[in-house]
Amino acid sequence: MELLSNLALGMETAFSYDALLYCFIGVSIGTFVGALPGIGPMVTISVALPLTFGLDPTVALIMLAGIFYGAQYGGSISSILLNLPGTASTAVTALDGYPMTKNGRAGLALFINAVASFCGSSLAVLLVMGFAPSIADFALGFNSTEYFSVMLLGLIAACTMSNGSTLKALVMVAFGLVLGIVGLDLNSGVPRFTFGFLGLTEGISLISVAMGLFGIAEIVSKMGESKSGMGGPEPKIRHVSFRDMLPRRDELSRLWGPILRGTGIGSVIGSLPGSGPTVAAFMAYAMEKKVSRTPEKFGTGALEGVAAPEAANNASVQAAFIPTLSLGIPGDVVMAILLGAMIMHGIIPGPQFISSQPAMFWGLIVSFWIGNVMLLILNLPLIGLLVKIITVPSRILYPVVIFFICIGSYSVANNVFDVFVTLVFGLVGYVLMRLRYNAAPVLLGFILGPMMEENLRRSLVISRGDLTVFLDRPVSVALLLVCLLLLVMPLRKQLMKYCRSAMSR
Amino acid sequence: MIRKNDLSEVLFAFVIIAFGLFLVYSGIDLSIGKMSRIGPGFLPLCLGVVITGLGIGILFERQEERNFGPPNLRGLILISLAIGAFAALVETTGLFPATAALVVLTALANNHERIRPLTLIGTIAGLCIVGYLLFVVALQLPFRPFSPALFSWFTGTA
Repeated sequence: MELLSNLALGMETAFSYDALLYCFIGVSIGTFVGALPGIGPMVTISVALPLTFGLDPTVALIMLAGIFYGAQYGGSISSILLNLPGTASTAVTALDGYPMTKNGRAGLALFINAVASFCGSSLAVLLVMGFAPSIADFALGFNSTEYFSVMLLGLIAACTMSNGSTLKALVMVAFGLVLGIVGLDLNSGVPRFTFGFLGLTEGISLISVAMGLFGIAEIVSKMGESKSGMGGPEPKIRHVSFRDMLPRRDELSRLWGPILRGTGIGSVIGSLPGSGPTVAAFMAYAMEKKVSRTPEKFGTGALEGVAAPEAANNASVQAAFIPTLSLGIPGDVVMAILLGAMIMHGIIPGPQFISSQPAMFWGLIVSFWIGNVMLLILNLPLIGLLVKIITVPSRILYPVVIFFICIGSYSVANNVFDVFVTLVFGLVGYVLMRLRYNAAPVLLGFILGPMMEENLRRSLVISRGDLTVFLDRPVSVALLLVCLLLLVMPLRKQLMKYCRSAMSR
Repeated sequence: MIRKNDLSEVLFAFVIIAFGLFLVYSGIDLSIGKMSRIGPGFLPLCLGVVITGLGIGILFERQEERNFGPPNLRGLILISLAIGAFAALVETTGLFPATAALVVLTALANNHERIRPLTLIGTIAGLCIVGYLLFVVALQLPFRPFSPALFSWFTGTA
């Protein structure tokens, strides 16, 4: 019964005129911008963040979330039609989606994409509804030590589960934590790492960090790529009619399995901290190939190869809201930005969020459904327009994005200084990208840093400076053990590799 | 089979170590406090130690082969100029000149896709209009299309 009254509350919020309007604006911006090759949800959401400053926090969150899942969706369209994935997570979709386009079945691929995404998202929302409140209830009993350990786990998991060097990822998290320190220390009133700049006393703005590290760095590096990488293949699709999109009955019946399996994988992966839609999509694809009776068809335009990863990455996008909303621990970078947006709007994320802001939480959940329905309706008839947008040449696209980045960073505090800060992060981001340091963990550290320091300080005050306080509570011990395990595992793997190569020599 | 790490990788590992040591130094400088009452320098100190250690680790870690082309210096410099010009101009001369400078410099940065003058002007005009309507009219940012200072500079009545 409680669930029903909560849902009613959510509907009341989500069906308000403003919420519907901004949800619609959000998913539309998300789809259109996300469909642009090379512009992922990261850039879209950080560019759009300043636009929400004037809005009511609930509506702002609904719009930002809409941009996020809309962009996820739009990204698959450019993967399928042009083989130019906007994000890593939709790269998997291109494996079979693009061959389908080449076989003249682009319409069907887009239809499968739409339906699989819709099913994945809507089913995963059920999980968010079921789990987020109970996890939050459990976490309400946490004190500062447990909270510190949860956040530490969130950070370490994000580092060790991402691909590439774990050491480099850990350095990036630590760098992010340092960035979070910049500004006036609230406890002592001492300015830290402001280097005499007045503009830094309030801390670095999230927008500057995100748009610099991801937006500017990405554009500079895309400009440097050889021509073949961009705008390259001319789209072969001239017109996709509605009839082309409908599957035959035997094809339809082949889709349920992959969609459900993909949703399952996506939901589990997405709700773990540190592993986003990319991992989910890859795992779903691998799984589908394994269970298929015709694995040799994968890569040549298998329907299952589009349905499963699409269901998985959209399910994981929704499931990622579980740790974000119930614990205040972002699962990946985009969630970190959403969390930062909440903080900017004066909402304190954490276990008390759901109970103290029920209208916002349930409104957001219901808006996920509304948004997904909107996406389905928006996308099927508008495919033709989307195709046009995708083919906007980069010579027009890049100045536009840079313009939005500049104005966006200015608008945070109406201050030119922030634009220069963004530029500095752009340069740093480019260097990091060149040296294959993944900048995503920086943002996680940046968001969680101030909260971690506060909880560490509180724990130590309570224990009178005794560090063993972290080992006194069972939940905290368990969390720290998982941290240790995550850190040791990759090390063990490398050691094994080293031993094996030493033995064979 | 052990390949020497790229020079830039090694140099960057030293940058990381130096950064870590700087944090340790400034942590002590900011005052660490006592364990029961940690000061503003406690976290910087801890992070400094961690970063220094990780930097040393990276120095000895074998890096995978890289396969990108040369760094895009031209793009980097011109994009920096574009953003710098926007920042310098937007409050002094107004939104429209700043937008024009940004678009021209960004277009120059894109070295393998030439832009025709007409497209350039169209992009500038479009962005000026969208920027004005969205940010000045709707979101109330304190920009003027052209600042009055610009006119007085032209007419010499400053």
